[in-house]
Amino acid sequence: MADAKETVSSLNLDRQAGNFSYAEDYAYDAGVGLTPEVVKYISGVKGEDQWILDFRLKALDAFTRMENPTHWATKRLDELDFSKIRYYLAKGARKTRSWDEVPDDVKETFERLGVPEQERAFLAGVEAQFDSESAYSNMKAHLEKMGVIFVDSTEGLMKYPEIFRKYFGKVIPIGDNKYSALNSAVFSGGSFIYVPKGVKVPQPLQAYFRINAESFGQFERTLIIADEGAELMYMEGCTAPRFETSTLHSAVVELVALKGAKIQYVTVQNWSDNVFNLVTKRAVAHEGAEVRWIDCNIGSGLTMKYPAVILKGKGAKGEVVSIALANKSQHQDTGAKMLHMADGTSSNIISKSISIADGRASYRGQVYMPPSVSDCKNNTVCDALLINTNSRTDTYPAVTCSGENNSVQHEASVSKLSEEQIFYMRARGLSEKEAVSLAVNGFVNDLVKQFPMEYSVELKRLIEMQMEGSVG
Amino acid sequence: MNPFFDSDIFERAAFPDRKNQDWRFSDLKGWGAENARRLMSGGFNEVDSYVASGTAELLDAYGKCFEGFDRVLCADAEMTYSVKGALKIGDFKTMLSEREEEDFLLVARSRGAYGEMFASLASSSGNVSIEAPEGVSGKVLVIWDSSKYPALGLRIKAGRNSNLEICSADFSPVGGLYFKETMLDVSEGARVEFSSFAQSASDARIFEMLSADIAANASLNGASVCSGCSSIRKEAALNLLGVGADAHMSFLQNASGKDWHDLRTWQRHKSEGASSRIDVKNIIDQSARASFIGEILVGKAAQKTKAYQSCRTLQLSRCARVDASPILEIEANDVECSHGCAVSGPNKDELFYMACRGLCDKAARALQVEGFARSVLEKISSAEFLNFIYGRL
Repeated sequence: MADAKETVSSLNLDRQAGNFSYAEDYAYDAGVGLTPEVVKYISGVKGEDQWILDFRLKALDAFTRMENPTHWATKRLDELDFSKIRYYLAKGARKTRSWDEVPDDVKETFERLGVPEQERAFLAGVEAQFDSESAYSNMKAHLEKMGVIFVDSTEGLMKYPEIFRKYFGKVIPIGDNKYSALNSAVFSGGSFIYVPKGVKVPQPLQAYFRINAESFGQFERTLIIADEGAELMYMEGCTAPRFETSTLHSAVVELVALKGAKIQYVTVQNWSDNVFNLVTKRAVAHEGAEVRWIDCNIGSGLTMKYPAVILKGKGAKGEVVSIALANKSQHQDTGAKMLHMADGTSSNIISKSISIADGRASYRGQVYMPPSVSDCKNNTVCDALLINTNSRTDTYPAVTCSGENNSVQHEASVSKLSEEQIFYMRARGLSEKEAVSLAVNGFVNDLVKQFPMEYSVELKRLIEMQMEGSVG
Repeated sequence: MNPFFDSDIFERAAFPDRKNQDWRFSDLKGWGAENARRLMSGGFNEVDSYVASGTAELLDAYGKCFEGFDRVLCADAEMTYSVKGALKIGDFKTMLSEREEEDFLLVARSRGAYGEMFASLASSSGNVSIEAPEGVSGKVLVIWDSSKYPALGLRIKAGRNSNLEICSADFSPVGGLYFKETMLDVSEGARVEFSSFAQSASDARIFEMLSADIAANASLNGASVCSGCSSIRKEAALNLLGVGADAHMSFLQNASGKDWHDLRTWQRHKSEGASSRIDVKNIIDQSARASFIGEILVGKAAQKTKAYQSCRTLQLSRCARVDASPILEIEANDVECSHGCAVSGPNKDELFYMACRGLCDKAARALQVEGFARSVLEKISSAEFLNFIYGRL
């Protein structure tokens, strides 16, 4: 494996590194606005079977009927003008397994973002999506021989319908919420992964989502199935250039961990601040399975994302580790949901947020234990750090508990940087900026350590960059 | 139906619905317009004799102990007062200006349909004003039987540097819908101890509002105990308005059978340097439900705020259910704010320990429940009132 420092420098995930775009030169363009014709166009370009088109049209109908949930969520959602978004853009080039065959502008994009370097250094496979479609997809040969499938959702639908159809739309149905309905109508790209029984994928699989076009909506759909006893780690990163108009990212991620399986899903979200990042992520954990969401949100103007685990089988475990950083004019509305639907299940939610300038970080959580379950446990810890006098934080947990011998505990705290700590560091020669940066990194350190090493070092660097200008 | 009641409210007022986040854990059918209309229409004749006995029992206790307490009795055809000290006690007509009375009802109306219903009944129901002038100390016992007065307005004003202790006991022995609004105005430097206890019949539904304005260097402490109430919703708002203002309220909801206890609180910090704390304990058994939504709101100007909240639930049976949502909305950075929420069943190690020492399971569990409730009961400042409550639990 390459030296960690070299790997870190090649990751190059900072905001400015992502703030570039190429000329819009698309072979397939569904135009602006959302109508049944747009949905049919997308399905036609992909050559989909009738059942998928029917699914999409049913979802469009649900999306149109459903209201924005502004009775509990921020009214900023009403700023989205669905009639001005472009729902499908593709260059028309076939996806390749070699970077040399990828169109130049796409290849340069991912090289600037360090994706090929990562792949060489430590990944088992990469899926690189440019606007609506995957441009590159590759996986190490020995994993293919073991029966691991790692393709984009379109290929998964076409080549593996018996597995795909069994689980697709079952964890997150069309009518779950307005934005899952939208995704179900116009989804394109995203990953389909199947890991066979007993196979443990030793290195992470990664997907990288890149938005290039203005006024665009990216709607990837990811479905991961870990069969009995299987294990994998999946990482996703994302960036977009900064435009004056709004960009929408509305993804759906469904995970299925069958008996004894383990899935770790790591996200580092660093969208530009004109992006509305509205994502539905949910996992079903069967008997003895473990699902772990590791979620870091640093970018976007508004993020609404609540990774969930339905603990369906006896002894299943769910965990969400979340870091949210809300800088100037950002609102990170994140959290977790744990639904204990079987005996002996346990869940753990750890959330840390940092609010800088007038940034707003909100935690929204749900823990549910019905009367039918027993011996379940949940622990939730939320800590918030407010850097400036105009920073804001909110916590909105919801606990529902019945059943036999269940226990739930939740705690949350809000604080500012310790003046004693800052004074101590400044007395030892650090500038105020360095001291604040160190204190903030210390606040999130125990969570950052849980990210893969390559990401944790870069994450600390990203946080330091966000702190610039926040002091004084 | 009460002839003074404006029945148009059922058509025009905003009754709670699924979208109203303040009511998201509540019994929406039970609190809906249709059920409210049914309860207001009367026709409930059966008297819960145990609940009804509470008034007489407390009056008897008042006569024997409760030394130094003034008394307000809203349990007969006419409200009566027994004023021994320097407090000013009377009804709204004699004590408040028209403007003050209107302000009182305005606060109620801001609570939605149920506040409007209270305001509609206010002119025909019991309204009591208790005032401690500057520097004066006093204690008052308020006894309310809702079958005599379906709505009670309690306006309590503690003047600068005064000391006031209020014990309020509410009994609803007959089915129906009842309302209580308590408004506390705690002036600069004043100290108020406020304790309340409520019991009701199985088909009685009670909507209770408490709002307290606490000025600079003033304090409000107290406890609210609800035991044997089938359907009760309490809304309590603590407004911390000046530097050094402090409020600490504890709530005990003891629900069994098919009881449903609903508690909504706000700790609003509008100025800097104030502190507040709310502790909630729920004991739920059989198929009872307890719900709690508690909000700590710290405004931009409220630096140096200290605000805490805890909600603990002891769940005694499989079908009992608790819904809890402790909320923080913080807009100032130099603050200490935290909350905690825990739910569990009886501690098995403790039960084993007591069994080893010869206690039967029933006695051991009863001890556990008493131990769990104790931290709230200890906040009741009057030993006489506490003894009375223990006898009724």
